[in-house]
Amino acid sequence: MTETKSIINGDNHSKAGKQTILLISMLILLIAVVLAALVIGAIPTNLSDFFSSGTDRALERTVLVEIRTPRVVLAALVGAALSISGAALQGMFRNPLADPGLIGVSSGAAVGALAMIVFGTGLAVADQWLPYLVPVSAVAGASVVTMFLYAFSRRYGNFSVTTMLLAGIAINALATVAIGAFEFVSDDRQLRTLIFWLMGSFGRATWPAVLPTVIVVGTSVVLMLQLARPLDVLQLGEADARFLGVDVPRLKKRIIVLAAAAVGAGVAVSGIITFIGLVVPHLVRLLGGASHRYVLLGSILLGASLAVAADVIARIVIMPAELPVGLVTSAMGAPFFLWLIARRRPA
Amino acid sequence: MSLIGENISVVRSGKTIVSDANIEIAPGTTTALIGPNGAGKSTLLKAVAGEFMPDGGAVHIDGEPLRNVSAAALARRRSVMAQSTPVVFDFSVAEILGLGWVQDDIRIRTERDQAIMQVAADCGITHLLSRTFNTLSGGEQQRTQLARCHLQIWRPKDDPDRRYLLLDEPTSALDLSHVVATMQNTQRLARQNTGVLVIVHDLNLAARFADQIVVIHDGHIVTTGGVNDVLDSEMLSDVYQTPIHVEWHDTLQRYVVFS
Repeated sequence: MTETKSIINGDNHSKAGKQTILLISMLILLIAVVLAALVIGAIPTNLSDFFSSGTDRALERTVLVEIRTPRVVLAALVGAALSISGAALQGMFRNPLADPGLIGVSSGAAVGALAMIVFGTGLAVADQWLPYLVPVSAVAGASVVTMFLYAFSRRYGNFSVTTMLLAGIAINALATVAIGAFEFVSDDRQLRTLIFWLMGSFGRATWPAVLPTVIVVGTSVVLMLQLARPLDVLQLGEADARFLGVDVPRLKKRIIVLAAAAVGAGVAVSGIITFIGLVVPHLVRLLGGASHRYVLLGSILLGASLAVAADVIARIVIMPAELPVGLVTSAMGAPFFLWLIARRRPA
Repeated sequence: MSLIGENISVVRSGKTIVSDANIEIAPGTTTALIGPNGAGKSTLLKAVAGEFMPDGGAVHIDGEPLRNVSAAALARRRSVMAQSTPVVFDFSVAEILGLGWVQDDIRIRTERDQAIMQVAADCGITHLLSRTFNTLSGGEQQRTQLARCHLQIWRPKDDPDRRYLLLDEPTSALDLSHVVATMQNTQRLARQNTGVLVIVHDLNLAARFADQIVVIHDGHIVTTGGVNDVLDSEMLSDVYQTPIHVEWHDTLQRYVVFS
């Protein structure tokens, strides 16, 4: 019996211990990536510029405080939001291929945001409220798609990988139609915004634009972390989860609302950035296991690092011009996606 | 004070699956639910478990209507092993087992590890704990799920709490020795004030381990009673549509069923 005890406790502790070490390493990686991202760029800066007050480095200081810091903060937030939402949606659908971009949640958010950009000027609201209406509309768009997917999955029982990806293709196609229609009716200025949306970029980060994202993403991420245990239980199937005391419909509603809020608030400022929500939770699971407390936390840390790093790449490869960061994440994510499909166990 | 299904009827797509069924699962006893394929065994078990509201009748747990009890409160005194869904992600056996621990608010953590060890040993899966659940054989997965159900209603020794364990074919993937060990295990749990309901296909298992047998056929309960009263050659032959012979075995000191 003592021997058994050491086996089970030894095992549990070593796995939990390994996960803790991984999370600490990911945190250190995130800090390193963020610091690097602050100083690398078309105008090199030092971290000491934060504290400079003279005129000799005024330009560097402005770049660092007004341009680069909000940009890095936005990239980290959007990366964290997409990754934790991807992890939570994968847990909810019990399907490792549920990425907010692939299944159309990001497109829904984009359509919501674009509708507000193109038609929002017609609304009787003061101009300074417009930056807040775009995220609200994006969240609404993301919610509509997620709720549709949820209803669809209930209607057709078991939601297989194939069904989900096909539904995603259909939703993305519908979104393309809507976006095409918006392009047709928009003026020159709006058209530039539209194209930026479709590629994804952190280049529009300013403090006023980033702040609502900080609040919405921060809140949803903290609330999503509370769902780790019920998400684990849900892996046994919905009926068994209910037998174990989980209020399954309520859990699903929470995941849908929180994921839609996080993705919508991110997409509203950065445009569509695909594959982060797919790649990051996978890497996290591959490294240390599937328990959601670890996967959700790890997705936040690694997702933020990956998005910030991708943004640095987007900024420097064709300096002084910039690549859309969505191109960088797709270039990294698409081959990974193919690899995932290839190694999938036959169902 | 039991888990009681009264006049349970379940209708699915216009077809009556369970009709006016009465069943009582009393703490301290093992009830075997038997009947041919499609008789409504699993549906009746799920209705009693509270997976859905029956279309007619009601379920009471210790005198309280089931629908008045929250899912979380119910989980602490009633565990269910139904046909399980595959687990998609790679959890370890210890992690799957740990999902059965629903007592966090009333038990301290040291008891949790002790309980996990005990049920793992009882179900013979101690050597599997560090394995990945998905890589186990069907029988090993079934024993793990069973251990999880045991953990869910685990109590310290001599705790007088009434509990219920509902099992839908818990031995379908097991070899003979594990079948017997599993049934002895649930029988032991029954003696600790647990009401056990178990669906089995092997009538000899029912004859050997049940205190009460419920026979269901075409959604109707045909008969309910002790082993001696229920195991009747003529009735069983009629229900299963094949000749069945029940005989007293002097060496085994119990009834055996031939078909």
